[in-house]
Amino acid sequence: MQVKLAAKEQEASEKGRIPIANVKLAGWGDQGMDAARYRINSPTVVAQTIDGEAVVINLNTGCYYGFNPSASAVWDRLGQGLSAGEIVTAIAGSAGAPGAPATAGRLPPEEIEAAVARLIGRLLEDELIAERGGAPADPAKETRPLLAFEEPALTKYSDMQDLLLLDPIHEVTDSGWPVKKPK
Amino acid sequence: MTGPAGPADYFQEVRETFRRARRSAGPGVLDMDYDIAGQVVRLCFANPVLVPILAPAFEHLRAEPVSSPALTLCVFDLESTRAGLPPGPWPEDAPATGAQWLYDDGTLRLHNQAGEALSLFDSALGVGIYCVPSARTVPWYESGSPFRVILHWWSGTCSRRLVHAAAVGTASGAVLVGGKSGSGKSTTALTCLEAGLDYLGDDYVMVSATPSPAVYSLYSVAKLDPDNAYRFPKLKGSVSPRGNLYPAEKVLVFLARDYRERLRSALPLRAIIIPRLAGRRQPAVQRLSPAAALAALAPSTMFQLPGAGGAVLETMGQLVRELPAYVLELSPDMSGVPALIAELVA
Repeated sequence: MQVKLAAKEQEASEKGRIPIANVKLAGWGDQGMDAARYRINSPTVVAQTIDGEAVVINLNTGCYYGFNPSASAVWDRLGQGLSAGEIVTAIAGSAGAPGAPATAGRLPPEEIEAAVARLIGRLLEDELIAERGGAPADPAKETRPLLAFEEPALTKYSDMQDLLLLDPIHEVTDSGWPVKKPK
Repeated sequence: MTGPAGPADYFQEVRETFRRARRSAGPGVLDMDYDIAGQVVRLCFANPVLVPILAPAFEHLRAEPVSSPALTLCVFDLESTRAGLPPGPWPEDAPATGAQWLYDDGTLRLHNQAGEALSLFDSALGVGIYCVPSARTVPWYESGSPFRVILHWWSGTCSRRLVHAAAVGTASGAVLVGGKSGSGKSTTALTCLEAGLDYLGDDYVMVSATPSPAVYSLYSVAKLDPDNAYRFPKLKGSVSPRGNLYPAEKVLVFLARDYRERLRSALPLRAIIIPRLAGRRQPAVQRLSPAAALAALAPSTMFQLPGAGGAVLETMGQLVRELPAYVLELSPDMSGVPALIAELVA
């Protein structure tokens, strides 16, 4: 079974779309398993995962996103500090769990790895996550098990971007002085 | 040479400017107390100039005076009080209009909508300050939804959240009507009001998720697109007392006089609906997943309100987890909408 990953985009006005297959990941070595860890780009990026589907809002760009269950599973685990390699292991390990479809166990880890890598590339590209230091994952947080790994997909909406672009808010730094919001 | 004050000093200097302006206005108390989301909010005007512009939206929430309101909101304009503001914590070359500046350290918040309004809030003091250059330049929408930024900040201090949504219902409860501007919130809310349902707001309301979902009224002023006004002939007598001041903008409909008995200050929330133009013969509702409901409900609130962050989204996330959500497929004939909504909250 071929695992294809594509970031589906339904927005009418997105500019500068980058094919995620061409995105190179920082720290993603030839060994194929990335040990880099990431963090959600908060407070600029806020998110909620409900019933296994993440809704992600980038307050800086005015874009918001709906993630399918597989993309949401990766997102939640990235937020916990799991590395890409750990995420692949966790997802591959879900196969065979009670209720898992028969096809789940047949996916080669390298195909899951490629799909996770591409999704991470897209999340970095849209500045939804950023690389961080290699602290261990937070085992206290529970994530919903992913029983079937399908094509990770996100839907990007930019229909409210004009609200921000017409009237940018200028944040102030810790010193209290304003800085112009980066575009 | 002394530079502009830091945010904390700036707040105190503007507060002192308000006090001086109020003293110079002479005798006469211009304090009014309102019950907003179960808390008493006091509007303190420096002089009468802004009262008819900014107070009527709260008319349906008037409360008996208390000794210690949860929020004291100081309101003044520079022109009529002949006051001047101290230099603010933004660049000297900041544009006079068209830019926003935000400071937020979790307790103190400043928002400068250059050329239009200055909103300050200190959550430790429970004091907000709202200042405009002149009564003549108050943005048209401020009469319909005054002090929105300060009330948004304050709502977070009392387990409430200001959201960009309408709310209507019956004594059994209300639906929260979400979606971006132009999606049909006002049309839905006013259709229900004219049909006899209870009304809490058509554009901005407050919500709480705990201990159980509830919605609170903020404003009794509806905003109506002039092209859509033909649908509501009964509302004609309640249009803005400011007359044709903003001919190019939406019509402000003041509901407190003619619809007082239908204006509710609070109701339990029973469902979330997202209106969509569907071109159907009759309106209908279709179930919506919680994540899809959040994606339709949250962004317009998050992008409009300065400093709205993860906590605001979390409250809306709690609501969509606990409440059923529906798409309300609208039709040119809206007459079936009130019955659909009454059924949802029954």
